[in-house]
This record gives sequence, structure tokens and C-alpha cells, in this order.
Amino acid sequence: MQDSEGNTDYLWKEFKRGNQLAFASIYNLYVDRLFIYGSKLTPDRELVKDCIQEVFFDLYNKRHSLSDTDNIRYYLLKSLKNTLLRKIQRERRIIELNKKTTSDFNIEYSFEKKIIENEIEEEKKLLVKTILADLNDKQKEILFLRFMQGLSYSEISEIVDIASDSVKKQVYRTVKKIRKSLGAKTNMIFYLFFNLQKVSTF
Amino acid sequence: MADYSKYLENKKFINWVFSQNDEDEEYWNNYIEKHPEDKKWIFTLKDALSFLISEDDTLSQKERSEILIRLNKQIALQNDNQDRFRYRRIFLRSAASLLLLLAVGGGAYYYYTNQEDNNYSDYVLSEEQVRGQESVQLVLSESEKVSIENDNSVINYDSTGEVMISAGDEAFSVEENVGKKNTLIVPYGKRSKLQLADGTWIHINSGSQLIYPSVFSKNKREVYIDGEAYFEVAENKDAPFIVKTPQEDYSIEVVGTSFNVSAYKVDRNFETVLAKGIVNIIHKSGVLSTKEMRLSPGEMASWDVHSRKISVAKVNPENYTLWTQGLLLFEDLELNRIVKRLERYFNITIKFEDPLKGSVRIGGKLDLNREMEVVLDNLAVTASLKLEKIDETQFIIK
Repeated sequence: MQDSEGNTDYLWKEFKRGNQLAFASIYNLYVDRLFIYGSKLTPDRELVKDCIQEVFFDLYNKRHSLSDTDNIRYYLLKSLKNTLLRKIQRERRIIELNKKTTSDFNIEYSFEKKIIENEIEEEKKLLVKTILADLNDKQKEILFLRFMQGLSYSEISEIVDIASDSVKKQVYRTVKKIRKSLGAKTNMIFYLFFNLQKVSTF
Repeated sequence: MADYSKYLENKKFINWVFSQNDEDEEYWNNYIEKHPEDKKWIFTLKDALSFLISEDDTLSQKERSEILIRLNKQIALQNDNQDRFRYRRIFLRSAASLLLLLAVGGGAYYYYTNQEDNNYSDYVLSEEQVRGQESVQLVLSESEKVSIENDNSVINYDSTGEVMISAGDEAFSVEENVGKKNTLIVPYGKRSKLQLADGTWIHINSGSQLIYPSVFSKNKREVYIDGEAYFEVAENKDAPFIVKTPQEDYSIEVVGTSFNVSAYKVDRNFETVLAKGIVNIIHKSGVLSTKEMRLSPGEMASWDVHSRKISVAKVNPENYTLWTQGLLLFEDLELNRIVKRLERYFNITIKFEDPLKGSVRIGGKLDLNREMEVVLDNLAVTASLKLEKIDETQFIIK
């Protein structure tokens, strides 16, 4: 599978054969991604770092039982979330500090910085901001996993524990809303939304 | 009309919007030139999506490599432990012995974190506890104990403190042991041979415990023995070798020599027999008077634990050192003491129906390498006694 990490098949096979360099390459390729995701799940960066270590340690130990075709990125992101939740839950049980659920997803959108090229009126900006603020944690996580991490709908569905087509709907619904608030001059997004059935997945 | 979703589902498109690298930029500029009809669509979607770009906290290069280093260490440690585990599976057939060790050891267990802390007496196991072990125990640290099931094991420390254990066909090594005090517990029925980091050999007899550092300091070599051991001390004039005993008032200082020490906490007499070289017996007879007595080869110093008095006698050192080869030679020795040795050696109990018989003095030779029953028969014949078996581990002299 070709993705932004390039062709990882060879690396993966080498790693499974016990090649330490391949293991280090996989680490270097994915560590940033994992950290970004982890830091959205908890503000505790040391915890995220510990969990990343654990995730790669597990990966190393399970290398013989992983198949050749596994999507490493998906596998690692999922393990990281599980590891984080497990650790956070354990800590909470001990200290009994916070009764909040562990599914918080804290994401900051950086659109204010990035959209310089296209002048957007403050009014529209504000509108989009409101839409994004209205998203719940799960929806935010879905968008993040879809666009920032490039996971497939079915992979996201596994991670956030929501049916795959529902994941897809959430994505389209949000994109549509944003598009609308940017100026509903065309009904393209609207059209798009009703063409979901035709859409092919990558 | 273009299909919007063909962009939203296009990985290259998503990459362009969210990763923003030059390669993608070029590709999409070319693409738009070729598909001018989609231009509006593409930019509309790009604008919408760009709202979804997240603000990310990132790792520094330092943090990134720190995690990798920790990870590699963790893997190395694990591989190490797996090797160790394979070894342990062979020797730790009885996990019970370890549990017992932990249970009875409890507070008595002491791990020397400080080389200078030489207060051994508070921390060693009691005689019962040593007896209770089913196998030789090598305590490397709080978390690392190795159970050695073989009756006769050999343990070597190299000059860096790395340990190599050979027992039967198995061998096993432990590294990263530097600076720690180690304890070797040899229960009844077992013997062990140990080479310390300085090259000194120590044969440890049944029912003994030896405490020693994995690596000695430059100017002093000190070990502690509760029990019996035969020392072949590697010569080093700059670093005297000191043997501490369960009695603070009694220790042995040597330079390079071979000698046997019998200093069981429960025994009334501590004996030091010099085979060759020179040793100084350091003992206290009164509150403040520390005396030093020099032994010559073939002499035995016998220190009475109660009276604090020391006496010297000419002996045949072989009688006191041949146990290292499984031989027991005795001339004119109290039966009590021979019986005690056999109890320790075979992990059995021998009682006297008539306690007076224990003070009979006999001479002879027993080959402890033979079957226990044969050895006991030989003893009975030598001492013209009747020795009856009560069960597998208990005997009575009539």
C-alpha cells in the first residue's frame, strides 16, 4: 500500500524478519504521527511518550504474529489509543480524581493561521468556528483520523467504535456544513452529500 | 458535472490539503490546468477542508531519540530476561523454595546498597531458614535470585562482577551486577564452589551462607561467612582479605593463603585451620581488647564463642579441608561433631538415644560421595554403633 510514508511493504517484511534497522525506520516514520494523535487524547505528553514506547515494544514482540498486509499506521494508532486509555483508566482508578469518560478528544483547529491565501470574511470564519466547536469528541476524532492521519472509514470505525458508514456520513456532513457556511453559492456539497452511495473508498 | 467525492476520497488530494508538500502542489497545479472545469470545485473543497487542519503538539528531536533509546534498552533487557528465564525454568523446578525464601527471609533479607555497610549479622538468615531452602540460592539483588538445583554448583565472578553459574550441564550468566553485595545460601545437603572477582576460590559447605561484593574495592576485600568454607585466597598485598563471622568479635585477616573456616552461628566453637600461608585471627577477649593472633600452616585456632577464649592446636589440615572433595577425615574427633557434619551434608537428622554417646571420640574416614546409607553404615561400623533409620531423613543412634 502506497501512502504518505511511501511503500512500507519492504520495511515491514524486513522488520518481521528481525531487522533492527527496519524497526528503527518504522519508529522514525510513525513516531510523530503517533505523538500528534496521542496529544489530542491527553494533554500529558510524558504519558503519551511512555505509551508510544509501549506501543513499539508491543509491536516488536508481536512482529511474528502480524500479517504482511497489515496497515502499520492504522495498527499503531489503534494500539496507541488502547494503551493510553488503559493507562489513564488505571491512573484514575488509583487516584479517583476525575470521573470524566476517557474518550475526550481535544483538538485545536489551526485554520486561522493557515488560510491566508484565501481571504475569508470574519463573519464566515466565525461561522465555521461555531460548526467545529459544536462537534463532539468522537466527531472531531473521526475528522482527525480521516484527514490528518489518512485512515480508511473502516479503520476509523474500529478505532472510534462506530459503524463504518456512519463514520463516512459524519465526515461528509461536517465538510458540507463548512462548505455551506463559506457561502452557499453552489450546492455542490449538497450534491456530494447525496451521492455518498456512489462514492468509492480508498 | 464533476463528482466532488472523487476529490474528497482521493488520497493525493487529501495529502495536498493536509500535508502541503511541494510535490503535491506541483501535481495539483498541473491537474487543474488539465481539468479547468474542476478548478472551482477543487478550491472550494480545499478551502472547506483547510478548516480541519489541526494544531499539533510535536516531539522535539531529542524526545524522539530518547524514546527510541529507552525502547531499545527495554528490548535488550527483555531478551536478557528471556535467556535468564530459560535458565530458571530448568533450575526453578520448585517455585516453592523461592516462595519460602521470600516468606521467611522477609525482613531478614538485606541487600547491600552500600559497600561500606558491613553490619552483616542483622541480615543473614537463621539456621532454620538456611536449612529450609531446597536448593542453593544466589541472591544477586532484591529482584534477582537464582535457584540452583544441582547438589554441587560452581559460580564464577569475573573481574567486572559478571557471574557465571555452572550446575550440571547448564550454564548461565548475569551481567550488570557491579557494586552489589551478593549472598550465596547453601542449604543442607548441598555444596557450592565460588570464584570471586579477585580470583579467590571459596568452597562452601552445607548449611552456610556467604555474603560478598560482586567486585571488591581497591584496598579491601571482605566477605562474611556463617557456616563452613574453605578459602583459597588470591594474593594481593594491597588489599587484605578479611573473613567476617557471625560473631563480630571474631574475624580472619589474610593476604594470600588457603585455610578452612568453620563458623556456624549455632556452633560453640569457631575453627580456623590454616593449610598454607599466613592468617591473622582477630578476636576480642574483653570489651576493648582486640587481639591479633598469627597462625602458621598446620595450626588450628579454636575460638570459644561463650568464653571468648582462643586456643591453638597442631592439626592435619587435610582433615579439615578434604570435605571440599567430599571426604571426611577425622582423628580423635567427638562423634557429636561428625554427626553434625553428616546432618548438614545430607540434610538429615541424626539423634542420639543416649546423649552421652555423642561425646565418644573416634577416628576414620568417610567418603561422602557415596550413597548416604553406605556412609551411615560405614560410620556405624567405625564407631561400633547401631544406627537405625526412622524415615527418609531421620536416623537414631542406639
